[in-house]
Amino acid sequence: MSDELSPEELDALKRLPRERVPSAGLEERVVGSMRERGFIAPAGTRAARGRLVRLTSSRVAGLVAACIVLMVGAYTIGVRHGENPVLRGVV
Amino acid sequence: MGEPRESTRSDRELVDAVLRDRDETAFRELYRRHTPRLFALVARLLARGDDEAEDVVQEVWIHAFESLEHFQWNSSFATWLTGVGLNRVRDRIRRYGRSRETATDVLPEVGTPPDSPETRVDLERLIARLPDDQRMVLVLHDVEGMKHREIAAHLDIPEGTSKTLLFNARHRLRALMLRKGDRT
Repeated sequence: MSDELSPEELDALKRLPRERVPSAGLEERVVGSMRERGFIAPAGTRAARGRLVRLTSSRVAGLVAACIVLMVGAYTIGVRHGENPVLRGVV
Repeated sequence: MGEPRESTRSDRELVDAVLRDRDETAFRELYRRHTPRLFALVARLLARGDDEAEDVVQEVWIHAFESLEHFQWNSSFATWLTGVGLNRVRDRIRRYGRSRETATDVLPEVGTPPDSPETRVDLERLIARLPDDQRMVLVLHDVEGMKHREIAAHLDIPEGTSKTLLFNARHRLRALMLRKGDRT
């Protein structure tokens, strides 16, 4: 088919460079953004390494689940104490 | 900072160092290892000039680390990063449509020394003039060497659509080449 690319043209496409170096400023911009978001430690603060716990969605879900379990547990204990005369007498 | 050093650390070791210790050196190593490839791909897919491509590359790194907990290491880090890059490019095209300057007017800048500078710049310029969806499939298939199955998965389109887009892209590119040949 005449309007299909020729093997030479397809080869030229394959030979296009697959790597390009962006401007030097980009690395600093990316590192700055990563630092702002807490993914990397502030410059020169090795001591701060690993202290910050990032709140990821799974961690938040875990915290919420733990809170719910605690609340339900406390409520259940409260109800059972209210119904049990022996325990009521003790308390 | 300083000059990039040769490293024997694997991507996984570097990623772990960033996640565990928030290690800036490890992150810079990852960045320098993967950004040239990512930048070339994003710039070619977007075809809107280097500034916008750099913005997208920045978004890719941030998004990658925000969603790293979902990465299971079933593929290489580079492949996964490419997937994140493709999503960001698609989002950008969807959100902003064609850029203020049309792709026709944007000449992608030249990268590393080419075999034949004129031919290559012409080819880059013609690819940039293709419609977004055709350009994406052509670049992924004919430049990056991806299979239609992979392209379909990345772009969330049926395989048949990927094949049709490639056919139309090649057809259009051929027409642009011929038109250019007539003018010279």
